[in-house]
Amino acid sequence: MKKKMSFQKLVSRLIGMLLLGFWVYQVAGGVHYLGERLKNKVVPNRELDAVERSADVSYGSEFTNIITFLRNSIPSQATVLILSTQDSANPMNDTYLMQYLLFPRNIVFCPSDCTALINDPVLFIIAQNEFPSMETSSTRKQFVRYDDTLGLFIPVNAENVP
Amino acid sequence: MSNPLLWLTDFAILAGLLALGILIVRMILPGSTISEQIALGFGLGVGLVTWVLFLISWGGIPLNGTTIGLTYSVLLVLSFLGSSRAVRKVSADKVSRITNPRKLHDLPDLLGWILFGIFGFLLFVISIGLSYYNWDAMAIWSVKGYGIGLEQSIFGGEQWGAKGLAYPLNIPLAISIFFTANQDALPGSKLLVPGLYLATLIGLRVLFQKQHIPAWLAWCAVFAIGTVPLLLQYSLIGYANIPYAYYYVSGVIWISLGLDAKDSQRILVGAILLALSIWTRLEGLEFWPIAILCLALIWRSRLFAKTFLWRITIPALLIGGSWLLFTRIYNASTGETIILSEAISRILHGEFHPAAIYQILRFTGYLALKTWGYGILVPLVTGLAFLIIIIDSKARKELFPMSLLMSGSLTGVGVMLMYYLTSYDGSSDLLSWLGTGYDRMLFPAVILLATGSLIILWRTWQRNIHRESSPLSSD
Repeated sequence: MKKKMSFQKLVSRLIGMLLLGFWVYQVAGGVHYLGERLKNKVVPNRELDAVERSADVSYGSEFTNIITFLRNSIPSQATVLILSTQDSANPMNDTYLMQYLLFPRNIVFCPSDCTALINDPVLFIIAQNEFPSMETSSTRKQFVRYDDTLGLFIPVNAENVP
Repeated sequence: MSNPLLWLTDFAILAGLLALGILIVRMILPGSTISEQIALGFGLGVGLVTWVLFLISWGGIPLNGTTIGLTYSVLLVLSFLGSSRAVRKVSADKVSRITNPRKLHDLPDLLGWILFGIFGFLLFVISIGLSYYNWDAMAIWSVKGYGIGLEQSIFGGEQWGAKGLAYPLNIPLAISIFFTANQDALPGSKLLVPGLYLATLIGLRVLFQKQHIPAWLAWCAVFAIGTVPLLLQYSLIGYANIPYAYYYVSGVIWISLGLDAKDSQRILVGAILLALSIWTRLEGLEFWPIAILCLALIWRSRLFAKTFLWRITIPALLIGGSWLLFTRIYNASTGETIILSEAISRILHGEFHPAAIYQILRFTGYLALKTWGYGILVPLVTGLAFLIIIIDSKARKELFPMSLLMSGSLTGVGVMLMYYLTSYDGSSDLLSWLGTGYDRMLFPAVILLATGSLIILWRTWQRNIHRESSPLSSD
């Protein structure tokens, strides 16, 4: 019986040591994770504002530059037209994400026919690739180019135009 | 991020909510320890302030700085008067005995608190440093809070952020307080989720102390749960799953503690926290009855004692009921609500998906075995505890840990059931549903299972040690 008890003790000690090993491994992993976040994102981004840090952590530095360009170009009281809310792969086309990233600007999108919205003289339009076509939008708006695929249509009478 | 005034303001808001919560806990549990007051108080402070602000805004009063300040001040004065009265009723001797059970020279405990302080500081700094990231944090919770702050009304949440007014407003309203104070420029509202995560862990530390688990082991368990990779990751993102897990887990634990000790006041605190889980995430409505069912299965007639039953149901009727009424009046529903209604209707017509059950179980197994999901320790300890329960009848008679294990298990089954219902969604396959949120929906179940398992393992080990050392033992 004594032998049985010492065997039990041995098993419980082995389990205890196994748990301790896993504990060290997991806690070290947690510390490593926090350290990496601190080193790779928090420290390098400390001079950015809250929205820029969001954009960088979520979608990278190039996307952050785009958001900074848009926030600097669009007055905070403006309404902004984006391509669509259906294309979830592109954050620029997500109404709710753009509500956050361009807050407090009002974000609208085209449900189907966009002509009326594009021709609205007070709307800012985020232009991507073929949207909106130059013919429909360039009449009463000034185009500010970001790069080959992205730009911004700004109402010609808008205040605070860069 | 380098503006000290923003840090000061945001920590002042956090401290204000904590102070209010502490007074509320002292009012209900005048003999509680300071760590118990912090663990329960932070969530109570946040949840009750936002719920009152919700009622005020629903009544048509604008939510500006003055209204929020006045509401807070009234709640603070009332809870201060209530706590002073309650503490006076308890004899000074009892209070000092209960509030100072821990000796300061208890080195492992002191070391544990120091390490926990460093851990908490890191979480706060990293959470703010990362700001809001990932879709739900940006497109639902934060922007809804900002919209409410901007429009000075809960109805601002309808047009700002996804899901309209279908999701409960505890977290968005808490975020709106920070927005009203300083446009949430830091963003200080990102202190909320790690704050509630730390409160969960402090609550577990308090529980382990109550279960007479030695300080070193209690802290090992706290850090083992605190560093579960998925929990740690979600404590920094800004989703509402960690706050929900806090309310649900703390609610279940404190109701169980109350039932175990036949302490109606502890039951009341637990019940308010559990009710606030309904006010934090949509699934709270499904899981509140599941939690009560689990408690009823373990505690049976004790739960249905008149004095306990009304304490459990009234907070849920008030907090959950008001939210449910609001969503019914304004017809606030999400795509998910519609899918679930459709699924239930098809099940009632005899349509079943056995393959979906297999797929969910397989995915759950994958999550349990994935090293950087729930870690290694939690699945291992839970597995060991279940093994002990199967072979040791004495372990099955431990009502308190069994109530946590039962709640954890049935909550997990409830999450599986919820995802089973999504298999009726024709527009999206089950695997894509499982890939978006199943792991974090299991948080309350995982924490309850881990906590209950540790207590079972500890008590079994203690029993064996006593049996071995006892002169009356069989050998």
